[in-house]
Amino acid sequence: MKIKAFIAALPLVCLGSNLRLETAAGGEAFEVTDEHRSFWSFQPIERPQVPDADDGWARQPVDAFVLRKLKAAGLAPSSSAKKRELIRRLYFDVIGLPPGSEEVDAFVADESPGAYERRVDDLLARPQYGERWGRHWLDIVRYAQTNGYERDDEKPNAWRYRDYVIQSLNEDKPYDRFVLEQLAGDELADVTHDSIVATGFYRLGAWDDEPDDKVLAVWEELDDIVQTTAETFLGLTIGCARCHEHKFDPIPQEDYYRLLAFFRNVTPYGKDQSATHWELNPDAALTPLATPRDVVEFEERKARMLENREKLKKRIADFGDPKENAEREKKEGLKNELKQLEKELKVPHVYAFDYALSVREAGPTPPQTHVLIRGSPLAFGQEVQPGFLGVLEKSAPEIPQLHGEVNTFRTVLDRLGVEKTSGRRLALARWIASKDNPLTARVLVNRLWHHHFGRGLVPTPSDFGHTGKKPSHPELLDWLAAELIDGDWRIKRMHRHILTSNTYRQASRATDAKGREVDPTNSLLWRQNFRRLDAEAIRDSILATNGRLNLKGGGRGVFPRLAPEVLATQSVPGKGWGSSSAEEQARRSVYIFIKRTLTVPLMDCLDQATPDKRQPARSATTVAPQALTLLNSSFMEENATAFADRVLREAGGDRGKQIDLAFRLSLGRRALEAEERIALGFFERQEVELVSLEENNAGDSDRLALIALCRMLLNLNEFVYID
Amino acid sequence: MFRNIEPGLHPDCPGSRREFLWQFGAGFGGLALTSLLDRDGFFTRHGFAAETPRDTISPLSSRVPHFAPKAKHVIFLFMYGGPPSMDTWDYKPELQKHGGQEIDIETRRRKVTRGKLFASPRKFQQYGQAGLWGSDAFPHLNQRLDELCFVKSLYADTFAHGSGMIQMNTGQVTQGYPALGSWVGYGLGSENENLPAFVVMVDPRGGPIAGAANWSNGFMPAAYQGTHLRSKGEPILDLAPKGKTTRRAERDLIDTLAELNRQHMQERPGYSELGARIASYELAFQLQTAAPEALDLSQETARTLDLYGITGHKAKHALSLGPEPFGRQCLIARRLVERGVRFIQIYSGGGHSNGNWDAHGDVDNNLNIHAPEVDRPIYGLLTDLKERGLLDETLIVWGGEFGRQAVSQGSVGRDHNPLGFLYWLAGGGVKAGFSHGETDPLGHEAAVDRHHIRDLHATILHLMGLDHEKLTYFYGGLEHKLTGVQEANVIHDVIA
Repeated sequence: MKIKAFIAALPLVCLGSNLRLETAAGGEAFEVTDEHRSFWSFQPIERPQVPDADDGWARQPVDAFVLRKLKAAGLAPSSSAKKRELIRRLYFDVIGLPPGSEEVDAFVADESPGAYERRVDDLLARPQYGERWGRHWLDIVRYAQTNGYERDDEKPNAWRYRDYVIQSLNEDKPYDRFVLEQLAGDELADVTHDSIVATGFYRLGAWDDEPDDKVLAVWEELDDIVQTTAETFLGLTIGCARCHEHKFDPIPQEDYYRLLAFFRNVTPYGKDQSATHWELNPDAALTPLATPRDVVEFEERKARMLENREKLKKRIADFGDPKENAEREKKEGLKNELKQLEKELKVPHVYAFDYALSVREAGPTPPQTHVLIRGSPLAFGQEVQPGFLGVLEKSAPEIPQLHGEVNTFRTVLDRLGVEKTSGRRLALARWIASKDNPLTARVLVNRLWHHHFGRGLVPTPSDFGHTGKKPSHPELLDWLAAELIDGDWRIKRMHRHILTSNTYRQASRATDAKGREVDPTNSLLWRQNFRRLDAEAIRDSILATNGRLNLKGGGRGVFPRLAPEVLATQSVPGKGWGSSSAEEQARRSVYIFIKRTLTVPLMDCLDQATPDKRQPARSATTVAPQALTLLNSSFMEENATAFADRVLREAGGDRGKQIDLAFRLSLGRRALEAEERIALGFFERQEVELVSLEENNAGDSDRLALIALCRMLLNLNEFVYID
Repeated sequence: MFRNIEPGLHPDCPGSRREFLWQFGAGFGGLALTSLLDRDGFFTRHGFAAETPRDTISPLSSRVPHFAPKAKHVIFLFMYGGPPSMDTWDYKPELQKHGGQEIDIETRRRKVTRGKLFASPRKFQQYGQAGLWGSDAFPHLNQRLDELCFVKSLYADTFAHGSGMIQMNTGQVTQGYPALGSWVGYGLGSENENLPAFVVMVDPRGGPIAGAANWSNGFMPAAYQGTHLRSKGEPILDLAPKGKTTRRAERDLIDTLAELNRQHMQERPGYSELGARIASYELAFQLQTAAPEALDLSQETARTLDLYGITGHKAKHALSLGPEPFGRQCLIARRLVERGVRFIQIYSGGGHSNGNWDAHGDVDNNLNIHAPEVDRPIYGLLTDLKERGLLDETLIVWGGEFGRQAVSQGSVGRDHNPLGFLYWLAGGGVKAGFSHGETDPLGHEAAVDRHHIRDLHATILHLMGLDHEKLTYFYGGLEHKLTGVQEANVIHDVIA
């Protein structure tokens, strides 16, 4: 690849207008060659032959691929995980919740053929599956419900996007459709309310409502869209090419702007409110989700209001200049009524309906797109047309003629004055969601693998370019990608391929000396990886253990109660943070309201995704503040107490029974003899110690000791680690 | 630390607890004991600051800097709201002469408007041997001007608080990047396993605009986020159990937890994260005494408390908090420095308008509120650190997200100004009694030896022994740097 020396020294424009006097840098044009196209991830996907399963171990095609590489390295796969561990792993992976102890026992006892596969199917069919996997998707697309920066205002109805994602996964929407809806749901011939909500994808990023440089800010917004699209769907990090030829991947700067041209007509999120300050533009970032009937009613209401206005005006005029006080007051009343009416008439009509945060365009004809020299919005270079990345596609896009076939909802939008669009995004979406795109399917199946094994076949899930890592099993990756495409892009089928494989079912114990020596990082998968639960699964498990977990889905979201000390870090303590009932607060973590400048400490310390950046993979750090939070926070105190009360209610006062139940509820298994002994000793010591705390001889030291036991169990390594 | 392990109720002897920490350890310092031994020279030093990605199991284990550091600690005194340079230490005779005169001047990005020059309402004089100028806003601190090192020619990229705060803290005007303190924690790890590497203390009136984005870990692991310490009430969030329990009962809980965890671990050899997590509980328990001890000012002498303005100095302005709260935080900062904390950031000013240094309405009045809140405390901090021989290894940084304009807003206020403003540094390897760079004769725009704030960031890292070009973190296809992709230069002129 030709990398010009001057590139390294080029500045990014995002640092302000002091670049405005600089002139364009010269330099030879960067040309994408066939050599560039020969990079592995840019190659067409060709379904590889499944290796011969000459071994009883290979249960699924996945296994055959894995086994071949293991054998070549002189390694053997690990034996299957114990059934108790396997079922727990399966639950966490698929629905993000632990199995109840009855479910564990039933599975362990079930020797019938297909017992495991039935659990796989059952779990994939539960609504909690979409909640679990929807959260994985939200990490990648920088989902949050506020804008960030000084005001950090709420993005109206952003939550609908979250619910859309969950619902799409639950109904096993084909992935190509999922892509089409998010990128161009408004341009589809069969546009629906859901497909409009999907385009909330465009509006999720952090957005500065008081940008220092308003010209630049518009390009920042477009950049966010370009980068998020490229990373999410194509696994390409393209940001470098905003200011100069990409330093690592064969992406010339023109290609960045050709890609940007697909989005050039997207209306900016904000509109001027004052010289310096923007606010959300409802007519550009929201779309009414109206039915034809809504429109009729709306139009009738509006007609009545206009009629009323004329009447009021006339009545006011008829008063003339009244002398009587009473008359004057009447006239004032009418004037106020008129004022109120005028105000209502000025409210953007989108608010008269249910509405979605969405993409909008300003009409069918987009403005020109130019290459910005060094990324500066003041230095226009050559004009470019929308075009795909040259390294992936030689042909030019065909921009579809839209709205030839008009469906009911499109008619509604037309009647409400929602502008027509250019069709450009649909052209891009079709190219991305095409079986011929070498990246789309590969990137998606790798994300699935990443969450089932803790690491993708490509360990950099959003970077399939030169700075990313190469696949450990390229043929397996391609086989999975081909399966996805040939299986109508259905995702649940792909989960089944993976979950029912023996590769997935392996124990995670790293006891094989040879494996440890030859492949210490387990890239060849001679065992399952050992994984910590993520923040959501830990919090949800705590709620599930004590039975308080509220499985209600959807809606704006939940505001966990935050300590005053946490709110005190805001410039206006408590601003933008609502309150939710205890029942609401016991809902799944995916429904926690996500505010960019105020995060929930429990979630934060357990490495939840940062809401500001696209996050393809989470880390699992281990530091003392996590221990403090899991031992001492109000959340833990409340939930450990609820856990203890449940144990007391269901097991009564017998210590042995309490221990048995508490272990089963928290770990899905009975306490071992040694553990029971330890727990009994713990009870004794705690009771003796806690007696001193009894007020008025309340005799509650046994309960306090039980609370302590419950709190301890929720802190066990076994509680937060899968397997 | 672990040398004094408290006796508990658990039959397990303290000896095995200690042994365990030898093997693992995950406090604020990640591999805590390892780093302790490392500090004592037990281990060969392999660590190098530029290795990425950092092991997430021990994200804050102590690391060796790129080169010999001048400073081991930073105390960043953040004057949130944007203090004026021309009313504090950037004395501008021309401005004083031409007050009231009308002038065309850039007041917001690319917007030149007609403004009225506003001479400082403050009185200036020269101080100390170096003869640096100071206004009467800081009578105490002016006595220490011979310790300070000014950079009077800084500029930044934004006129707004939100993006300005974020840029001063993370280097970028867009939200989502790691804070300076996170970079230091990432580059050097923690020196003290019982305390965080990056500590933040906010103003009693509230946090700064953009809240958590100011001490965010951005795309780094959460372990690099700033930890809030409070000078009153519970020092660290969730430090103590909320329910009914006793210290001995908690000791027992931690020990029993460890015992159960060890059994679990025995069956799962080779996973050091399990050991690290056991150790993290032990360290959390230690922290329950270490943190309050670090914050306990009861052992400080009356002279020290007076020095920092904690006692005996009342607020003179109705809206002023007086020097007590900030003084307390400054004294805590010294105690944290003594205990090895790397990066301490204290915010002066919280909330909006006159709750902080955002002097739109009346700059004189605003200074009357806020300058006395920090004047005595900072004077005390400098004096105290010097007396204890800690000033040489501690870098003090003073400034806000931008400065203020030479023209008036309203009649006696000043609007935001990122075009030219001052910071001062002290201790930690910088020249004493020195001033570098100049604004134009009106104090409005950086003119001589101009430095973008990324140069200031590069300089702070440099003084900590970190090369801003080498301290990188890989995310989204790019090796990110605190200073971003534009060229940044260490301000060598200020280094002693």
